[in-house]
Amino acid sequence: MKNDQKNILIIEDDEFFRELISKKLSLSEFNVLEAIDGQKGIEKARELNPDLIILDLLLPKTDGFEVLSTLKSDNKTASIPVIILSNLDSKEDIERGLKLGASDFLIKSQFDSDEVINKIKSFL
Amino acid sequence: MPKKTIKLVGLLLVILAVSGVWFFLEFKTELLAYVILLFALLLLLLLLFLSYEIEKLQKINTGIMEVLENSEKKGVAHSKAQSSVFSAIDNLSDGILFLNEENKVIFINNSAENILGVNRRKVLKERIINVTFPVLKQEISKAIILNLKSRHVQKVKTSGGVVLEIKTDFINVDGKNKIKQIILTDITKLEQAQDIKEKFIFIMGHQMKTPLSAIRMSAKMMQDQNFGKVNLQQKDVLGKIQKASESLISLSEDMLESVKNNDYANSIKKPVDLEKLTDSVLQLYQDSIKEKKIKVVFKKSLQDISRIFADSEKIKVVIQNLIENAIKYNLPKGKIEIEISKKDNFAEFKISDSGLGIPEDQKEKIFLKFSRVNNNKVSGHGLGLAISKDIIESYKGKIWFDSNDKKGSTFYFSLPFSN
Repeated sequence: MKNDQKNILIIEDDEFFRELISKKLSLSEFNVLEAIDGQKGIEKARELNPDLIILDLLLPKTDGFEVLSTLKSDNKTASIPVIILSNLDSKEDIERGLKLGASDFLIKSQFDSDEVINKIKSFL
Repeated sequence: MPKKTIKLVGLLLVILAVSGVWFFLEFKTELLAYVILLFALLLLLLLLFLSYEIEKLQKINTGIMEVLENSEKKGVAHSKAQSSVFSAIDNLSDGILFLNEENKVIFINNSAENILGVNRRKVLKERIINVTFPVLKQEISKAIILNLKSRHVQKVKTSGGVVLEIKTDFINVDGKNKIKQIILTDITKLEQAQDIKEKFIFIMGHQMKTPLSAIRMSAKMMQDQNFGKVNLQQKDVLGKIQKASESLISLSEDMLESVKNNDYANSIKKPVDLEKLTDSVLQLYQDSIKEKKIKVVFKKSLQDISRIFADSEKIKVVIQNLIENAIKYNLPKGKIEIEISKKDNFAEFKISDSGLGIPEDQKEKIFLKFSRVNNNKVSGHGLGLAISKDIIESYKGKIWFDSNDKKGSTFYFSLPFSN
């Protein structure tokens, strides 16, 4: 990993979507790390200590809420900002995510990819 | 004693008396003759009296017999009616148990026997706490017994996979005594249908939206030349791909909304600020408004309209549908006027556009699902107004419109103030 580049960990099981976000982040000169499920996401976060995490909620094995809860209760990863990027868009889901410690909640079907980049830069 | 017999005896007595009188008169004993005659007359009178009384008694007897007969018939009818009722209860598809005040089983129908896997002979007159239900786990049986103290509804699953709704209630028998009633309803199919519906919602809502979001995003990135240069023609096509995927995303969201349990009226109610909601929706559509160069005039109420209690998110959906339609069906450089005012005990939202209007022959279908004004230039799925109507009416409000073909439309909705 390049030292001056910020590291973004994407925890997303949909391959196509994960590739697109990675591409967009790479074009904005972020170093991208990927995890295809919640468990691997937690392991990579602990091991690699990224600068920011983009987290999907509907994940196999461990769902996004559980991943978020684990990350925020672990001293190693608690301070890493987490942006939720999901199609779960009910008021209850959004409130739950923010209550668990997410820095922001973006809805996949509505967000603009440039918006994500701006959000990430604002948190970093 | 039959009437005729009485009369005959009477007659004989008279003959005897007369004969006796004649006998004594012949032998010159006058006093005795008169006595005997008097005696005969008295006997006759007595017999006549008795005959009358007996007739009366017979009538009473006949009356009593008739009453008894009628009672017997009614009793039979009542007994037959009772049998029919019990037979009907016995054969209901729901399981029914009645318990007395000592929690002893006094009635169990066929369905309850089958559902619970018990035989009525072993259960009747037993305290329910002593009865083992083979199909229910012990903790569930205990829960049923504990819940006998009050009206209660619970859902349990039997060992055979049947989902049961168990309702306990009380029936007042004679003002003093109560019978406890347990009704068992098999809701397995209902649960399965609910499960299918939830899976459908999940599939439609999320599994479709993610790839559609990816398509939309990739088209945008290609258009932005994130994957290399594109020519004008390619940009145009990519723009259309984005719009098509947005349209599908919007359809899946609308369909989700229309199949959800639309119990809006029982959802969380909080004070709704119609003006604030309208402002936030107008913000969302700023780009579309600018693109079509539409002039928007928003007239706010000078009166207090804060006493509406509803789910703001749902009311926002309605405002969004109406504003979106006013933009979509408007002409370039057209006008939209929005007004929120107080009308008696209602807050009224009004939105007018200078757009295409609604043809007369399509007006009656406007609030139906999948109904759209015939117009090839305007995209849509025909669910927005149907959903809006459901939402407004669930809060006891109204939604209606005025429109003239090619002259624009005005849509209204009103919501009652809370007391």
